[in-house]
Amino acid sequence: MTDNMISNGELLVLKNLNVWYTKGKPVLEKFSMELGRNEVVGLIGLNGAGKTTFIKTLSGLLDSFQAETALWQGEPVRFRDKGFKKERYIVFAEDHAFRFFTFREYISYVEASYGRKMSGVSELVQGFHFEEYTDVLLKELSMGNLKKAYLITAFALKPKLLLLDEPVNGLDFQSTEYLYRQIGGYRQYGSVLFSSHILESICLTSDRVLVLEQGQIRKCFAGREIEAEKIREALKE
Amino acid sequence: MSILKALSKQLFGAKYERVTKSLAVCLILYLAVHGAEISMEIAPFILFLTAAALSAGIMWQALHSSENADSMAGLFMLPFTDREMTFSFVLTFTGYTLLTKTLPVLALFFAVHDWSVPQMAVSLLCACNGCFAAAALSHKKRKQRFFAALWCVGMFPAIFFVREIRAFVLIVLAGLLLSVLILLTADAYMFYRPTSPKILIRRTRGTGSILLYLLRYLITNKNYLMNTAGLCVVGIILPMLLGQFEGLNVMPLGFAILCLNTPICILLSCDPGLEQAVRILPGQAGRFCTGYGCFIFTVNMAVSSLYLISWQIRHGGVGGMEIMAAVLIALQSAVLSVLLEWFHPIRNWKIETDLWHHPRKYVVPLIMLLIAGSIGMWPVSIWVLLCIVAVEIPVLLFILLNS
Repeated sequence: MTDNMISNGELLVLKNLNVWYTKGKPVLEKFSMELGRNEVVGLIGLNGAGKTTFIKTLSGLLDSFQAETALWQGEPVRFRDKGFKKERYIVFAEDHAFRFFTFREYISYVEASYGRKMSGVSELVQGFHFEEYTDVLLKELSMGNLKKAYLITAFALKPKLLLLDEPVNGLDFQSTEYLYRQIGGYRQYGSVLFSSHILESICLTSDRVLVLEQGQIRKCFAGREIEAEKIREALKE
Repeated sequence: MSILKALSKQLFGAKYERVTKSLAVCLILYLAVHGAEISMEIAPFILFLTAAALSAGIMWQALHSSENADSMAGLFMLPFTDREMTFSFVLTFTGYTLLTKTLPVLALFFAVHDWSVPQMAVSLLCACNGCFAAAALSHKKRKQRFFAALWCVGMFPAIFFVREIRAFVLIVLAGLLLSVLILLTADAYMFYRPTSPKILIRRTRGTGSILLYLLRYLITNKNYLMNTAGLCVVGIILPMLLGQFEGLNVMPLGFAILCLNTPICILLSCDPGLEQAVRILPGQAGRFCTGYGCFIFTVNMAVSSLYLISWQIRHGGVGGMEIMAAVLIALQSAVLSVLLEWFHPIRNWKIETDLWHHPRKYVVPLIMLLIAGSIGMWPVSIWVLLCIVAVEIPVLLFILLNS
């Protein structure tokens, strides 16, 4: 895996990460990965492979884990540290955050929480065709529009690390294509780690593809190796 | 798997573990209170009324919970007959209400008074009748609903005035039969209440304030709003009841009772989406908790103000000390509620009513009652509370804002 790393310097290094919900039944076991700066990494795996669990661990939501090494920009990191939290933003597959805020209110709440102003919100709102919904309570939005609200926030906030859990789910095709462009163009601001079941989304955007199986990274594809057919074969094996 | 079995597993757990837990709780409650030799004189009609009204209320809440609509959607996709689904629903929710909510209360009643076996059996029958009546009241057709409502109203005179137990049993059984007959004609979809199509209302003035967020939460949720409105009514009536205890300063007890607005103290527990969001965003211990604490304090103070005004009209004598007691109790209650919710939210609940009646939410009101009691008995305690609050708030704010 290290051979395939993009050598921009490592943003995040994890070695031998074990995560469990029930003691003795690890969901991730001896999970190791490195994420380069300004890199887009796709995480793929069958249902139950541990993709969401991994993203939840990085989000600081789970405390039932152990890691031999967890480094952020070369320094040891705790996922619940305020400093680390300010460097990443997460969009979950099923997100229902702050349902009684409108999108605009949510944006200003997130800005205040991260202590910085967002840029390019209007362009993102247009790109995702979200103009009609910016002043509507989030609880009144459909699943796809709700996903757009959190994705716009993510790309406008521009943290060093974006964690996206199945970001394509629920989006219409125009927004999906716009999302691919945003993920692809995010390298200038930071890194993206995203999980998906849709091979196209992974192949079109990623510098590396990690195949998660039984709680470990079993295979890694990079550069020209990233082809839907090859990845499909790897998943079948 | 039959619908009855599927629903039972959903409410009681895969191995029905909740049944054993609830029965164990009842037994422990009974043994603890009975062992403490606490006894009270209670008229049988109070027992019957409590059993029927409590069960009917909880059954109604459980059947009409908006959260249930989503979790039950899968069940309504399956092919079923109306009667099978209706009675599976009514029986399972009745079992759930009786075992997890009514029985613990009845265990307390049984422990503090020597009831005869027929009286205990009739109280259980009243509880079943309450549950079935609540289900029958959910009928989609107005005529059936009217009969069910008429019978519910008719039950009250029966409970209060019929002293002959056999006659009373006959009346309760007739009520049960009427509910069953009404339910036989019911459309099972009366228990499935999908959210209505949303009208998109634009709000352009908000600025991402957590106080505004929580205010919207309160206004949108009928149960929370009803609870707060109910407390306002209690705040107005309470001086008439508490004023009767001569020679003892019972006023602080009223402030503590009025802090019993438990639904607004479990906002994180009942909204896992919000909890996840505040856990992943940076700086929420300070930003969210401060706003949440201010919100609970404001609601507590609004209700306490009504109580103070009512007290002044009825008894007079409301001065600076009384206002200070109201502020301190409201503030202390808000602080404890937020801390409890932040560090120990209730998780793994099955349906919304589990939350509304979870024992944890009574912890803060109980502490506040003890504090209020000590202020009533030893007025100097108010100064102790003032010192505690004066130290506690800045320390907590410092910790929260720097965490």
